[in-house]
Amino acid sequence: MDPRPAAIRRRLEGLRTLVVASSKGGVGKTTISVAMAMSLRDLGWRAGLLDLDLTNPSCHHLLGSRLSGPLEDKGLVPPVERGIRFLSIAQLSGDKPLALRGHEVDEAVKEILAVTRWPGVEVLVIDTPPGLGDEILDVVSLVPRGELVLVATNSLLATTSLRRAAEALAGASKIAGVVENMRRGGSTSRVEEEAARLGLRYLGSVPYVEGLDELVERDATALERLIAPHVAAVLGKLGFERRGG
Amino acid sequence: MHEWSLAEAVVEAVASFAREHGSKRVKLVRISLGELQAVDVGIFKEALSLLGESVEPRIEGFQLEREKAVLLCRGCYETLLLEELSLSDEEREAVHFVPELLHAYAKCPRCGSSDLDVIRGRGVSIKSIEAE
Ligand SMILES: [Zn+2]
Repeated sequence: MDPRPAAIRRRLEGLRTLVVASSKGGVGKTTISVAMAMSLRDLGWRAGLLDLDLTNPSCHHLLGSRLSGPLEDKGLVPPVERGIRFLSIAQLSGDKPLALRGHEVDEAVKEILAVTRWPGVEVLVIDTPPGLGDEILDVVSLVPRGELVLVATNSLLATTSLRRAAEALAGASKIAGVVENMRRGGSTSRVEEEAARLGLRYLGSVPYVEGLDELVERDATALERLIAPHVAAVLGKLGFERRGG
Repeated sequence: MHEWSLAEAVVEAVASFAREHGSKRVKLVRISLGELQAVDVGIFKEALSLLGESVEPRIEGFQLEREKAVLLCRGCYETLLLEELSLSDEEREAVHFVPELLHAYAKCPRCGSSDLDVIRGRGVSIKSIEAE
């Protein structure tokens, strides 16, 4: 018997957990995850960010993290970076490449969820690996009251896989809704139509920003300025209002 | 995994299992400790018996056995032991939290591959629960 599911429930009880996923890569899921954590922080919530993309972790680039190591105190305690309690496998691997098989991803993810403590954190944003394979669905089912946020772009391929994802997850976890990323002005939103057809909540859109990656690389505040405000509207729909103080 | 949080997980898992099965007392829990997680047995035992007292139903005894780590290299298909790998203290520390990090740090001393599969001795698992 594996003691970790019980540990995970205990670690995450009392937290709201937003699990950010997409059924295909390249839709900017990591951008949305990091911007959500920043935006929550700016709205006055104590936010955590967990990068569960083990083979290609990249939240730390967008966050402008120094990759300081987590502390050991009755488990792992992630460091606070730019006001966000942040854990990435890159902190433990020294950003070395980590090629894992499916069952190893599953093991490592369970381990990380079981050993990591999030003191003070009220809302945890989890960035998942691209795709919605069995390992990810397993993970999502381990997170108590996890709220799944699906990210999609306005292309046929993405909406097809969005439909697939919604079918795969039906009943497994609460699907909070769909965020449309990289929306170009004036276009009609196929994502919105598709979400309506699937009975999923459309949480809003984030505009396409030309050369965002380069902008972020040059200026660590670009994400906060350009993306986080749009994400704040999405968070509002999920019940995260601005708090005083 | 830290000993206390690990013990907490074991006790929590056993107690909820026992409750689900309507058990009134748990007499013995057998636990296997994989070498890769490098658990301090003394601290772990202490934590288990303390935490075991405080749950419902109470857990009366624990039996621990260590399990040596055995790895299979997928490069040359030879099996390896942990002491054959050269890991720094820092790397060992990271591996004890997440054993899969071996892939980032360890190489097979025979063929140089880092594609090592853990066959045995990965982590902590509950082998059996004696309850009534
Ligand atoms: Zn080899």
